[in-house]
Amino acid sequence: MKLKQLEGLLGDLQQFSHPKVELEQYPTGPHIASRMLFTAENSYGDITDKVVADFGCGCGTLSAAAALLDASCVIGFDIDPQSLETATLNAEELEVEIDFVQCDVTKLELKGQVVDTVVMNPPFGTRKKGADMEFLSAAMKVASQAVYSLHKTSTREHIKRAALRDFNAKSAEVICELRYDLPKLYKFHKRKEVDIAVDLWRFEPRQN
Amino acid sequence: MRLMTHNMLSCNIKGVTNGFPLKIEAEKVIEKEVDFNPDFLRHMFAKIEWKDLVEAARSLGYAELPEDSPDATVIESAADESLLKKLHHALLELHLEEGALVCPETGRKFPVNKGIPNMLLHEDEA
Repeated sequence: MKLKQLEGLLGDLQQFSHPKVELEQYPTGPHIASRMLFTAENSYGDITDKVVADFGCGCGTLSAAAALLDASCVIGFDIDPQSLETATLNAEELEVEIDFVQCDVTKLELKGQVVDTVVMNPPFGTRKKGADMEFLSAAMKVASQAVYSLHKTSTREHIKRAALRDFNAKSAEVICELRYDLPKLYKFHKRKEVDIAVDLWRFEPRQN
Repeated sequence: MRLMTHNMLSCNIKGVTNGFPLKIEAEKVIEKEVDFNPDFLRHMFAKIEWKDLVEAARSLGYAELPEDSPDATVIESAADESLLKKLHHALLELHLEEGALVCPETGRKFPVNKGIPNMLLHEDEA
């Protein structure tokens, strides 16, 4: 599948109808989502024929991208039932199979080393402090091959240190810097639109 | 939810040491065909608990998997894919739509609605 085609398909997905600010629900736009998964597969071979988990899947954009790039099994995890309903509809629309699990990923324990790759656009920790680190820690425990994650560029050094020192990372690389364009979603947003500099990270866990 | 996913889930209630595998109470099961990928299945065979999968598949009404874990050589052999097809069906084509996952230690039921298991813990369980 070509990148443009993937981006097009992801652009048609339904997003949060009533986003919950306390969960930092922001849609992962098709531009970022398509590039993230396309790179994961084309540069690293981490998606096709792999078991892929999407942590904090929301409406399932990253999960859908993984499925469209022929992951052999995609599982989306999220705490919010409404998002999971939308995600289910999105998967049906695209005619892809994705399993969804309602849970708190930071408290999840998955058995075995079945998941190859975790992809995620986690909360940045603006509402619940440290949420970004909790998600990263959880992902590093689950993935046997790689973790792809988005974090604010301003947290770059902090993330790198924590990943290598505390979260069992063999490597922690910023693959590229992206602009995350956030539309005015919540009442407290003053500007019509704002661009946040985010890093796309690839972490490799040490073998257990 | 398919058995591929069920195979990873366990009960996280505080203090529980034996929360895996979750027993399945099936009320509604549907089947959906997906593409057969033998290499992927061979790769997965090494990672799954065979006996747990056999029981889980039975709970969903599928009893074609042999009780005993097949020899690795049988799985590796390119010639006979019939066993791999059964594994494929069990792991990827059976969907638990309505029912519950039950903790083997505490009996706590995690409901499954519209194919989605709710693994959220109550405050006193976390």
